[in-house]
Amino acid sequence: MTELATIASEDSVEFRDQLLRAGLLLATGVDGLYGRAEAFETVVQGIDDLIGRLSAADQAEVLRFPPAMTRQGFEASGYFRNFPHLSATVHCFCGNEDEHRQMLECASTGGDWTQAQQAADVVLTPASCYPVYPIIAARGRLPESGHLVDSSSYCFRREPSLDPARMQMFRQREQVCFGDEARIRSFQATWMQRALAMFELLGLPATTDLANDPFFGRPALLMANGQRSRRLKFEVLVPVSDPGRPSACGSFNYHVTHFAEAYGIRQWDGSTAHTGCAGFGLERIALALFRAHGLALDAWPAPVREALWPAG
Amino acid sequence: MMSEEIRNIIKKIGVLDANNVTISDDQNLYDLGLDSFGTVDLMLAVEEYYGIKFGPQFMRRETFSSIAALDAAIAIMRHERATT
Repeated sequence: MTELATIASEDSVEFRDQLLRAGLLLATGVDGLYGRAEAFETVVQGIDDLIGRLSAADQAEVLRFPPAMTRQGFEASGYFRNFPHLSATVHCFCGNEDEHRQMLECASTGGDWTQAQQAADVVLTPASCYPVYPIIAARGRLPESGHLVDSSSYCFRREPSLDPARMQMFRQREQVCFGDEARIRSFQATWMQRALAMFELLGLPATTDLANDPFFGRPALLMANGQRSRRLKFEVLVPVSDPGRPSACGSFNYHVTHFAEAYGIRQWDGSTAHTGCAGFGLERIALALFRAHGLALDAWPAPVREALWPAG
Repeated sequence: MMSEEIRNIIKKIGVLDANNVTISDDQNLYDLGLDSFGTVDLMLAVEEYYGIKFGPQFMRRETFSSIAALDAAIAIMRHERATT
């Protein structure tokens, strides 16, 4: 099936072409799916390490995940109810040798061989915090002080685009906070301040703003208005592909009790926990740096290089 | 009476924490456990029951905050439908 890429501005497409010509990203033939060259990965690693230094004093529990999560956990989250257009399931061949031969014959004649595939018990991870909730829920009640997790994984969202800032597979570094409302609101505010300080260190102009998720269908407006009126989601916006239209490079979310109810996460006293997350898109921040400081790392301003790769 | 019909819809789809409580017209449904998914379920159930579509001006939390607020919104939508 041919997918139409979402609309991207001329500036975005030109920036993508520059990145490809410089060999920083490698085209795969699918919009939004790229290989990364060593220089690009050096920057991503520098950003990841910088976020790690910003959060080190929090002593969060570090959890790292593959880019897939359990289908059961995914279903419990309600993600495919709100974002079916971004979701991706994993399908696998489960037949016998006869069915295998039929599948190969079908493929050799240009037929749709994927019809022989069946849904597996894993799906692609939409955000790095999603695998965290069922793990925390399974441990029983939270400690009285709550809990904090530092998560990271590759994530998938089905939104093919010529804009390099809108990748289909990208990495998120996400802090996930568990506790009561006051703790989550404080966590949300702290990370917004940290994000602004981080982008200042990186020499990138950044602002924060109230935001909403890209919900699906006609209820989207109702969901988005509800999210905004309760001030549940903020984003940090930085120029990436299009200098005139800053992109979200991080988001700071208060889920109220949504995930705690979905997975059965309880506070120390048995009441339903509140949760929040503060996540950064590592590729987007890397792209913002290449956009602002040029495609040659050794020409970047010394303070930016020092922030990413401190000496000693 | 429309408020009674709305009360019955709410009970039928089970979007509150407790389904056997008596809800007054002015009681805040969010305080009774209505969440964002429940709000969408309530919107769709009301649309189906009355044969209406909530327009963008009604796509707000306040519309679904109480039976009285929902009653008022439905009355406007039914009036608009009857006069167009």
